[in-house]
Amino acid sequence: MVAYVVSKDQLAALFDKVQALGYEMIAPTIENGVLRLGPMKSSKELAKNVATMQSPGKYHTEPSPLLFSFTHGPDSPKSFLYPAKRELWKMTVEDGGFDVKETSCEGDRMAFFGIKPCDLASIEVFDRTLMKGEYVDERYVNMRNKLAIIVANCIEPSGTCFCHSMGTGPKAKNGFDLSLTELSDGFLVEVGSKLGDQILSGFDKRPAEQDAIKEAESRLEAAEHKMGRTLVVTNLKERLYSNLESPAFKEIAKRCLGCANCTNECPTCFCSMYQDIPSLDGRSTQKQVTWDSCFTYQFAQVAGGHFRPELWARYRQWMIHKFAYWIDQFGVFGCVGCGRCITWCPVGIDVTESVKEAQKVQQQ
Amino acid sequence: MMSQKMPEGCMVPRPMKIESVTDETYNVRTFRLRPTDGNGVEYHPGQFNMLYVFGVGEVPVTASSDPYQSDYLDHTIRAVGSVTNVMYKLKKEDFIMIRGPFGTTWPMENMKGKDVMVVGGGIGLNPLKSVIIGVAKKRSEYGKLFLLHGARTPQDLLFTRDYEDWRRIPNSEFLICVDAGDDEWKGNVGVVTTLFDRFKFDPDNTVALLCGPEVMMYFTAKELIKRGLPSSNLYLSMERHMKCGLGFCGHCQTGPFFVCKDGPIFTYDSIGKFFGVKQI
Repeated sequence: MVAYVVSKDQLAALFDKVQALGYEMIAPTIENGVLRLGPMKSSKELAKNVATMQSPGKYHTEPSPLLFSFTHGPDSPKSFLYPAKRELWKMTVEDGGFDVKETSCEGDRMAFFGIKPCDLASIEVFDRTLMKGEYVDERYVNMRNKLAIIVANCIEPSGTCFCHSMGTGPKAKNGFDLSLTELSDGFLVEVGSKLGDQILSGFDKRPAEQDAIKEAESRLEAAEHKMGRTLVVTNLKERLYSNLESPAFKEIAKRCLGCANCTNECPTCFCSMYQDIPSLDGRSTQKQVTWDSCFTYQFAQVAGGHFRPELWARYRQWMIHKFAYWIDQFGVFGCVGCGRCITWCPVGIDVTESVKEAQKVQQQ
Repeated sequence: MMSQKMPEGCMVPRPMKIESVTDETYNVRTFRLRPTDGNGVEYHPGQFNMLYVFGVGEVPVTASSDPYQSDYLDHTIRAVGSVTNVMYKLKKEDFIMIRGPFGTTWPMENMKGKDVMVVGGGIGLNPLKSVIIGVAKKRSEYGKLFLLHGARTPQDLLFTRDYEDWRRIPNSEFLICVDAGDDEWKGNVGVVTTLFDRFKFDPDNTVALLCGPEVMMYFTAKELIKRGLPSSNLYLSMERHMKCGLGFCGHCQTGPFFVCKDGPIFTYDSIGKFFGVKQI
């Protein structure tokens, strides 16, 4: 992979360069003490010199000597590629029939600037759900095919991170246009695509010398050992399948609030609700898709009964889906190890512990 | 990579006009739906459509019509939920819109040359009706037809108007039972598995198709396997909460399966191991 070194004071210029190519920039900024990902007009808003301190149920930011090496906040690419609320179509009563208008699935070209390797991995997980099967989500495909991704590798993981266990980080291996690794002096910038080349063309940079490459390697290797959480994933699917009836789920459910924070924060959770929003005069209606959660009471309820009336069964559904069913469905884990579900759980339930508990109790 | 466009009719419902409404029981009606766009309907026995009532919502329902015609669809609805209660009251000339058909089919081809056993519990007989019609129409292509139907009460027996025709299907046996009879009921009383002592079948040459409440399918499957039917010849139609029919909304997941696209018709071989798992 072609690599360059770019000086630290060029970070904003790199942002501007991508923006000048006509992309709507989605980048990290600090808002009320929390790192948020969102549309950004100016590189001045970029978050800098902060670290995100994360532990079960806790989150805050602190000043950091590192310029652009924080991890993440509650938002993930999902919020932009698969928004929490969108309209599918609108239908109006007409003489003797109905007029249907499908909502346009065109959108601006988006660039994710400074997302993390786990988030990049989550996009690849989403690709399998929404664009690689028999049916495709046209809006997603549309956004995805014109996406630019500038990923920032992780040299300072957070306390709830376990991307190394899940094989998605701390270094992004491919699937990006550019990847940045912060060095003591400058960034190592690796080019992952033609678009990456285009962004760097005419940009102030120098070819990466061996020292820079080595420094990046050693920083990323050190990061592998700084993960706040770990998970053994060898044969995990098989181990969970044989523990579907583990009593651990009932224990975990005693603490779980069923609030659905974990599924909202999860960068790969795709479950959604399709509902009608009729107009007051009854002459038109729109079909709206919103995020849903397998933790809600109604999720698996039908008129004739309920398939998962108890919370422990809904927790099991979520956890086993992530680490077992997902592999049968899409060929990968549904978890990228970002740790958001641990950080943003109001009662601090740690999914890595839950996975261990589900196997442990059965063996006793 | 697969096609990047959605097949027509997957996301946006297609208006169908109600041509007739037939009362089946005190809370079940069959609606005959005809497309208003001049095109036909395509559907294989066992597949389902998302039926939509304007401004109210959608429900997944398997068609009950003759699979060898493509002019209309029959959909049989029991008024039980927020959508079906509205749908139930619709009249001739009203609209029901559909998306679909979605999902897997009953093994109409693989059953050829074999005896066919159809077991429908309650409204679960609905997805099996097009199989009965299909087998009756191509009678020489299939072996003996066993038709078993159980319902809670005599008033819940489904498609009673068709029983005379079904009893006349050559080389067939038709047995019904109810969980609780009434003063006039002279027939079998008991769950549907009690019918298995009343006839003989060749387990090596029979394909069994089940649809009904999960507990009924669970015990019926166990009984059939006990009587020697290979689980690979045992098919069942699953019910789950569904929003999209495309594998996107996630509601219908049962173990690793999306009932909408991996089902609704499964072999017992594939889904059977999740059957006894509580609240899966």
